[in-house]
Amino acid sequence: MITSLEGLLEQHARAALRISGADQTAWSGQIVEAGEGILGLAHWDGTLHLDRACILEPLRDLYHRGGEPRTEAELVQYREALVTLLHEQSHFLGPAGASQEAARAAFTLPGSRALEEGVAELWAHDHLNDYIRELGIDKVAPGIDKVRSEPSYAAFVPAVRLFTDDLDRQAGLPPGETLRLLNRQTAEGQWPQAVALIYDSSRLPHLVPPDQAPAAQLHLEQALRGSFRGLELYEPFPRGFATSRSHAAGTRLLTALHKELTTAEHHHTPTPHPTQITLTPPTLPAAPGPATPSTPADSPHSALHHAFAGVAPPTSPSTSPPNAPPQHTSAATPARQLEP
Amino acid sequence: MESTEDRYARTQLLIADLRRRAEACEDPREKTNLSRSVDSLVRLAVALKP
Repeated sequence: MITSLEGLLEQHARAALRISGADQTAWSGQIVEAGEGILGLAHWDGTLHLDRACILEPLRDLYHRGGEPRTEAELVQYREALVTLLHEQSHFLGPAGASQEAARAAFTLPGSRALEEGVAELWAHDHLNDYIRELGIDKVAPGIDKVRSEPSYAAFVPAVRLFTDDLDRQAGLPPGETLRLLNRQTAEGQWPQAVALIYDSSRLPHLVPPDQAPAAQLHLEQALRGSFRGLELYEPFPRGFATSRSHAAGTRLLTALHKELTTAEHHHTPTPHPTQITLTPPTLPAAPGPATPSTPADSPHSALHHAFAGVAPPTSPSTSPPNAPPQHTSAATPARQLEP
Repeated sequence: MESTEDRYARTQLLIADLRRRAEACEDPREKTNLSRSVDSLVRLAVALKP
């Protein structure tokens, strides 16, 4: 039973590791009091920076008044401190062998920050009660698992929720599983993992030649990264506005993603070779005399004339049927962001 | 293509802007939302730092 802030800080990273199912944490075991207006920061050197007033003091109070009844506002304040703690620990989680150097480099790529922050915030909120029970905090502050607190990162969270929920449905995964999988990755693995889920749950693995599969996945990843990067524009705006814009962007992104997948599937679906029609004029015998009809109704060529009546010769060489989708999505096509 | 140095400088400007907005905020939820974005941008700035 944890009875102090110090005990909590000693146990909190292992609890995050347990409930996440991740292989490792990059946390060095060091906690630093944050400066410069920072609430919580998972530093690339493995140290955890926490604000005294908003994180450390409420958590000290949590144990100082252990077992006492609290107001709802106090319980919400504890939850907000704990969710920041769990969010920051989420940044340190990764698969076996993942390095902070690689994660740091990947974090600077387009769309990485929006996905990682959205995933960490959503996962931390969705699993906060598991974390609270794992650490026995529901015994220290009764009722803490019954109150609610709102996620931050309003510019990213709604779009990431729509995106991960859609991936769950497309891949036939239990609700929340995509979020759990992405949360166990560092920035290095998050986008490749998401794209692999999308790709494998489409028909593309059965249609795209194996040597073209990496290029097709890379094209998809670049397009998605571009769309997620666009979410950063909403960060400075009030939460309500950022939330609605993020939701709208997420909806557009999914529409464009499904359209892109359908187009790619059609592009790679083998189709019957189009009928080749060659309008070679029949060789007619030389007219025996002047002014005779070229194809009288009862002539052997009459049927041919009727059969081709109204058929225009092709104006340009084409190997695609008239309704074929536009031929793009190959590796040679420059990636564009999916948000229309 | 924006250089890493330019991106680092732009990130620092954005951090300063969001901090100003957070300090001026009266609504605690808005303040927290902006402050958390600052945390994330500081993490990005450290990653970009030459």
